[in-house]
Amino acid sequence: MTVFCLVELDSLGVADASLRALTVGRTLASSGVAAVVFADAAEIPVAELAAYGVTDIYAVTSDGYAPLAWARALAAVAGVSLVAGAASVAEVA
Amino acid sequence: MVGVGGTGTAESESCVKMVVGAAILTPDHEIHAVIAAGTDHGNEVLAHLGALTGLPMAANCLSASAESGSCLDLVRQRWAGLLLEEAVLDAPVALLTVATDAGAPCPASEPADVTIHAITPALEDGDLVIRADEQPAGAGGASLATARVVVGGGRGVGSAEGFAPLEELAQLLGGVVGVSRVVTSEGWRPHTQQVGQTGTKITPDLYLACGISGAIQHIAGCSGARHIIAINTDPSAPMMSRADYAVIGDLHEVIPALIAALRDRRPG
Repeated sequence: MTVFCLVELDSLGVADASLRALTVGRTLASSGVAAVVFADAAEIPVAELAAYGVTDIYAVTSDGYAPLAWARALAAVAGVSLVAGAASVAEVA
Repeated sequence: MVGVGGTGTAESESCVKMVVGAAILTPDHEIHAVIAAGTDHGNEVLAHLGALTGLPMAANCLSASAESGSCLDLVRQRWAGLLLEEAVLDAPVALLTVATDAGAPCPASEPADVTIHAITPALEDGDLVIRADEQPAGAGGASLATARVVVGGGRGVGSAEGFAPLEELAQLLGGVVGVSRVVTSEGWRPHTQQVGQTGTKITPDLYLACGISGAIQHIAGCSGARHIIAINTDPSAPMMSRADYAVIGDLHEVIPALIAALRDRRPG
């Protein structure tokens, strides 16, 4: 399974919540996890991401938080076509 | 049955087409995942991604497994974490967020070799209509949701002015101030600082709960803290039994003492 993970940063590096997401993502990934970070490449803590199994970092140019723009960029990076999908989440218990 | 843009019915599954881009389409058509932290940003961005693609999104998952083959088996939080739901996510691309208080972060057994790709996204006119002018809530640029230290205040603080020592302590610890619902109801602090079921869920390394009784709605928001220290005059307050360390005392005396001790330990 290919796993892309939106990674958020804080003043100390990768946000703790994103490290938890990477931990879950790594259990799903058949190889490494790809991190999508909305920041300049120079600001990204590469070593910290590498320690959590990230093999590819997509440093996306961003002028602040814009949710729809981030979503469209994430779709482009992950290669998810913007076409109506067929799928579901079904409660089983 | 949930999902942004995905109806999830058997009928719709048979008649709606899902196309996965060539970038991640593999010959065996294995499923793929786009995940994010279950923060305000993570949930919002993936909800938009779900709306753009028609894919369902599962929020605030605690675990995910692909053992069943073409689907993901999930355990996710509902009702602000008061209920755990087992669910199956049936989609060629799984969109999910991971609860901010999911299992502790765990590094890989060895660091990976990393390739960095610089991306300038191609956006449409409407993509930037909604933009946030964000300002950090506390020292070091941390928000309440991501702060490593949160100093929480409840009814015991007594007034809006009573939060000044908590602010000072938070600053000394490199953290931010959080509050209980009663504090926002009293108008002492803004709702953006509220911790709990109807506020922000926090996952700091340290949560210092001062004068907070520990209602279950508040516990739902701070249970992800790695360590909790409670300060309260009431030893039977629920927060005291939830805490790793409990200080039975008046926060108006304990906090100034803490501040003085911290200042004494600072170099220079």
